[in-house]
Amino acid sequence: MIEAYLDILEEGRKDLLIPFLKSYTAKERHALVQTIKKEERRLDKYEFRGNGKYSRIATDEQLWILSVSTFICFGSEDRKALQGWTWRAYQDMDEILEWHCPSWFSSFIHGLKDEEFLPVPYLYVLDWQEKGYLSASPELLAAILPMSIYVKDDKIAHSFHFRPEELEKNPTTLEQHIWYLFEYPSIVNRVERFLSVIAGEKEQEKWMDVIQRLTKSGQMDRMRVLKESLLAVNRNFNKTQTAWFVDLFLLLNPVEKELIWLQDQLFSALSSVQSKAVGAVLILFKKLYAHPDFRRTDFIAQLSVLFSSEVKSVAKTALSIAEKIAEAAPDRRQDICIQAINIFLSKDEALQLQSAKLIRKYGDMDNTELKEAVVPYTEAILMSVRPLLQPWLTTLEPGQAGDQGGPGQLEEGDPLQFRLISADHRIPELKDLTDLIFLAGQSMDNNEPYHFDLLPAAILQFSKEITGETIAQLEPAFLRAYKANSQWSSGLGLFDRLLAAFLISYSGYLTVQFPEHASGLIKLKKQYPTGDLDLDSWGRRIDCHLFDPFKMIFDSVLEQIKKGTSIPLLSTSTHTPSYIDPGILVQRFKAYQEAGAEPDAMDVQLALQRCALDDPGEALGMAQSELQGEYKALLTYFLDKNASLDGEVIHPNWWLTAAILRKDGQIPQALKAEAEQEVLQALFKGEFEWKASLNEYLAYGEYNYETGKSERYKAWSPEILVKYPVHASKKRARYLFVEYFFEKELQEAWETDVPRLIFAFPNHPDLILSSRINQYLKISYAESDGLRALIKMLMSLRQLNGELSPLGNLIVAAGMLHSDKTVRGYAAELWFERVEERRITSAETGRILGLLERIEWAPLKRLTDLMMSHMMGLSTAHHMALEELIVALLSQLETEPVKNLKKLLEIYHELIALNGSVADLEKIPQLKTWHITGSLKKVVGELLSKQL
Amino acid sequence: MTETMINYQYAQPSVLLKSAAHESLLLSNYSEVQKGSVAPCFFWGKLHKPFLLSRCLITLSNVVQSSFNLSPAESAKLKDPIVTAGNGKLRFEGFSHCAGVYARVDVLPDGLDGEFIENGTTNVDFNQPMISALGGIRPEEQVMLSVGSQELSLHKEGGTVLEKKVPLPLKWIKGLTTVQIFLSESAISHTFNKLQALQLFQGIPKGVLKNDYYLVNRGNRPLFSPLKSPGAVCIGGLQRLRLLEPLLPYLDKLCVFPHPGMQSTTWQLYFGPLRFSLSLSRESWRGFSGEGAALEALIEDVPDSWVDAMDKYSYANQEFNPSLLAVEEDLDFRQVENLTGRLAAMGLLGFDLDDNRFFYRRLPYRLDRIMSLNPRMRDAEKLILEAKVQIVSRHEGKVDARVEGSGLKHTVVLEGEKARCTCTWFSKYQGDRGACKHVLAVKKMITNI
Repeated sequence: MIEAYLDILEEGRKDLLIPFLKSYTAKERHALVQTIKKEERRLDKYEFRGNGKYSRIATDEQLWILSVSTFICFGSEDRKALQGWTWRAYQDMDEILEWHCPSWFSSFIHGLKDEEFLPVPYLYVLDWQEKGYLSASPELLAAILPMSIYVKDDKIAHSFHFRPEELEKNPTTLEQHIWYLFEYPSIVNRVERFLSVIAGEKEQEKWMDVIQRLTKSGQMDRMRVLKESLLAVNRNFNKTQTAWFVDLFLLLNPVEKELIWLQDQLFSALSSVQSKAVGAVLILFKKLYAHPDFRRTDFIAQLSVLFSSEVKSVAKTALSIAEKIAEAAPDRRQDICIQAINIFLSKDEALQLQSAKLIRKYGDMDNTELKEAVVPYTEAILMSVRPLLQPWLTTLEPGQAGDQGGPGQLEEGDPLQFRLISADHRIPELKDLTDLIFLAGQSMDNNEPYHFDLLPAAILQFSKEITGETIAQLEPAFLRAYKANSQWSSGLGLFDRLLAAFLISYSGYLTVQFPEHASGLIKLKKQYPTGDLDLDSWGRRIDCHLFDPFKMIFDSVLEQIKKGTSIPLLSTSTHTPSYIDPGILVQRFKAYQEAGAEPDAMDVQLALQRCALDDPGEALGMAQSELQGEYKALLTYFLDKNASLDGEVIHPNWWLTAAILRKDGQIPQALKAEAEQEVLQALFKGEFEWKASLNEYLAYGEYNYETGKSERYKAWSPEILVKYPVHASKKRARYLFVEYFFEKELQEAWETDVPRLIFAFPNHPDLILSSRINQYLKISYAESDGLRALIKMLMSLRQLNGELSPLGNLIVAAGMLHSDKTVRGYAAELWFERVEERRITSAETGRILGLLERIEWAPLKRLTDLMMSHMMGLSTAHHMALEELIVALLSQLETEPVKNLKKLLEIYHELIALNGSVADLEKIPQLKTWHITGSLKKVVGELLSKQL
Repeated sequence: MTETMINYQYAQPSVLLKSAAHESLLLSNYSEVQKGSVAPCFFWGKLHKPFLLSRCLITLSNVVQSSFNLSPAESAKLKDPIVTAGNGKLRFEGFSHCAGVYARVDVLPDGLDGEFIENGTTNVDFNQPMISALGGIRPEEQVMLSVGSQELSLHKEGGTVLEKKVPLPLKWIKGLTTVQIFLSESAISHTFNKLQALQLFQGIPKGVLKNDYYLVNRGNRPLFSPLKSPGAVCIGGLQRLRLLEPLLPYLDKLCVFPHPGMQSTTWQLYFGPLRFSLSLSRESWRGFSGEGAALEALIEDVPDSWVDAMDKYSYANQEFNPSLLAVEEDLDFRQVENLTGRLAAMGLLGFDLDDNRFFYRRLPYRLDRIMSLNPRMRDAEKLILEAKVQIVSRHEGKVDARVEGSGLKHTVVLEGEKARCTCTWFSKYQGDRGACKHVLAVKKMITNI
């Protein structure tokens, strides 16, 4: 049987297949399944034919045979396997279905309805239904009907003829099926978009026109079409499909009488989640409101929702209709005025003014209900609008105004005392081996950034207590380490892989040390035989030196364990995110002093980088009384800002790091010879220049089917370039910890690594930010990894308790202009917190924003929207800080106004009114020029009426 | 995999009928556990706030039509909510398709004037024409509501029986049990008036939000911030809250009830005698159905006789009192101490945040269906059966155990309330998503020793 089948297939004898299959029982036919699968794998693939061309191995006949035999021989519904025949053989199904119609046939066809373009035509489904092979559901019919008016051309591939008359072939289509389009999701709104329609009499027509024509001819009931189109907007269709039904309704141009008759549906459409439907109904109501049968009460009942709409045009149109009703119906005025107060939730000045004018015109000045309704909105009402509402606002009792939604008060005064470390931020210490076992299991999950440091420190701490039993308990952690280093996982970064490599090396050590308990470890190693997973292989697997210093610390831990010592690491963080208590650091140095051992050079430097330096007094005393020699001299120099380098420099790199971290730009005499290299000079300087630019490039536009190419257009990519030196060929013999970050131009880290990199320099984050910003602040290429990395940068900066560094400030300012809303939100929130804690100079943020906007680095609207949504109405201190920011920003701009400057000036005007200050013409002399610029004249005029 | 199907058989579609005097909302009901072939009528009477109830039901229908992790084609399907009638109250419950959003409409005694003919819980037919008709109910209108049909004649008038054969909403059933446990652990953190609520919701960023947001106070102003700060309420998939937007202009107040472990938040809107609560799962791609909150409650078995006793002594919406059950059935008080969690996990109790109490509500699904939905518990039981759990030591409230995993042994340590395991699941979630099967197995084993 198989051989006979293979012969038919090989020769492509379509005519022989069905008689052949018919001659066997279902069970016998099923025996062909494996052969069909095998042959399909062999034939249904493409082969290179030379000249850059590929073609399929199977002929069309062979594909047909494979598809039909799949349908007949496979015993059950296998959607993927069966898909083929729906494309290739549905025309021949009659002959098959009359003797072989499987029980799953109907459910299979129904399952196809979720496909974007259904492979089976509508008329075939109707025919199969008529013959009893399936019972088509309304959902299926709605899904396949849109394609029915497009008929494939026999000769030109992928081309279609427009044949609306197909709808008339079967009376049920217009009587029943076409109405399903209004009830169930379909592609009726977009079927034409991807079809190549052959030129003909009506090729310009689309589905919407077809329905219009059928309505005109009376083949579809006009009132029903109107009614169903309105109902469709509440059927949870997507935005474009809903909009299509709105357009259809408008295309039919309903007359007043019809609209009055359709009020139920029109009012119901006001509840649509798609604003297009709401907007369209309101425009119709604008024509309808004066009609005696218009349901005014129902409309007024909807006003609170319409006025609260975030879509400005919805609120605006509703307001203008309400105005007209108020004019015509005095008894409705009170209701309308009360509803109009909802408008003040919008920060749009024009809208607020329109609403206030309505209330002023029709509102009863003595009405208590209206007064009570206005009061809670006081703080939301713009300063320029308030005078209109004075009659209702002046009657407030003192202190009432700010009770609801008003800004809180922040005391003026000195910066808050902000400590780098506090008891709340203490990282819990490990108590025993059990804690180590559970830490090991989760350390590669990046649950906390500090787990990376904590685990090797803990293994060192408890290394002497490890027993055979403990090894078995650590096996799950070792297994995770092997998995982490041999499989890709989105949540893992290179730090996690480095930690995994450390654990694998440690398991190697345990295997040698405890051979009688190492069977599990040996088994694990055998499961992952590829090698190159441990610490020794690290450099071979990755061409990036960012992680080298961390690896060296891990090496030193293993070395200690092998030697049988366990002097604690110096660099393990004691407080989140990564600070070290200076007192504890002194004690750790003392442990090395007492053991007569030398700490690892990278460990010393990382410890200095992380040491909390804001309150070092006690630790300094401790260092001077308990340490000796170079330790004492080093920590005295490091902890005391006024101390000078005094003592023998045995380890110049320790001293260089300490000197860089003092951030005073001074290179002590004793270190000058070591610090000649360009990178070190830059590190001592500690400041990094940056430049913002817009780089021209060719972006991709719409795909052109005729040319077969995408259109290209000029676009500008906003970029920020931080200048930092790299070692290139002039390498030093022994690098500082920080020098590995300047080894070469591009050293990529993964987004999950960003926090740990920043936390290596909590006191001087610019040392790492300098080399990261160029990669992560590219707005036009804001793909997900870069974006996540930028968000992680902002989050990490927030966790650092010190002052915002210059590059930190750049990130916050550029973040406020970023194309991603989350990034903007983060930046604004960071500003909010820092203003509250008085740890930011808003003028500096404003200056950077000004430098960026001077070249219109990003749309200013992003910033003004952010100010309105996130930075206003918070507190007096924030209003003052925001004014400071705006003044600094404006002062950097050229006299030629940038786009959307008007909105920024309006915000400035509002802030001046709120803060009781005046426009700063001295800092912003540009105001004089802007005063004579058309669109800015009004707002600048108002500003200048209140100047210094 | 063949899906389990359930065949809802409604006497007729639910419908809003208009007459000269008033409108009647007839909700057709069906339950696979109902006794007899005719679905009983649960409630018949007048609604005091029909306009607001219609808005709440439309929002509920939006919730059950929504999906935050599935394809749009899936999300267009409308699923039927369940209604619990009794003790003077009506409660409508439903889930989003993805089971990550739970919504409940409570109609309190002041919102109704009518007769509770039967008490119980049932599915009610929600269909698009009825939902569209609800949109037409006006503020001052008279509306009668009937949950189930009072008169048999109405069935006849309604014509043919409506059958809906749909895949059994397993996610719903499991979510309905899990969410009650989250609710019972939640406590109020914020109360907002209408203006504050509207301002707060205006600040929800547009589009799909992938990262968490936090509800914080900025001055007197509440705000959704992407930054975590102490005391802030964490909300994943913030855009899901937009489901509530159409109701905001009508509310008296809005209360927020976060779960202490930030595994869910519940947003309860008050409209006089009506309440609408919306509970969000931890993240938009995580349904309540996948959370392990109910697992701990299932460690101890509940004898069938207790479930029978519950049926005997409780009626729908009645406050659940475990002590009463113990007295009536002569049960050991210690045994019933943690009973509420277990019964909620079995779909027998709901939780009312305002009363801060469980109420009796038996899900209209077979108990064996509900109990079969906890694979992690089944896996734990399998570990015990296969003797893969070894208790190494147990003293002073500390249990040290080893549980065989695939090719290696996991360490499980229980200390008071704290449980730890070396498996990947626990390492990753640190217990936030319910206990792993290893911890469950050890707990079950020591409970039964």
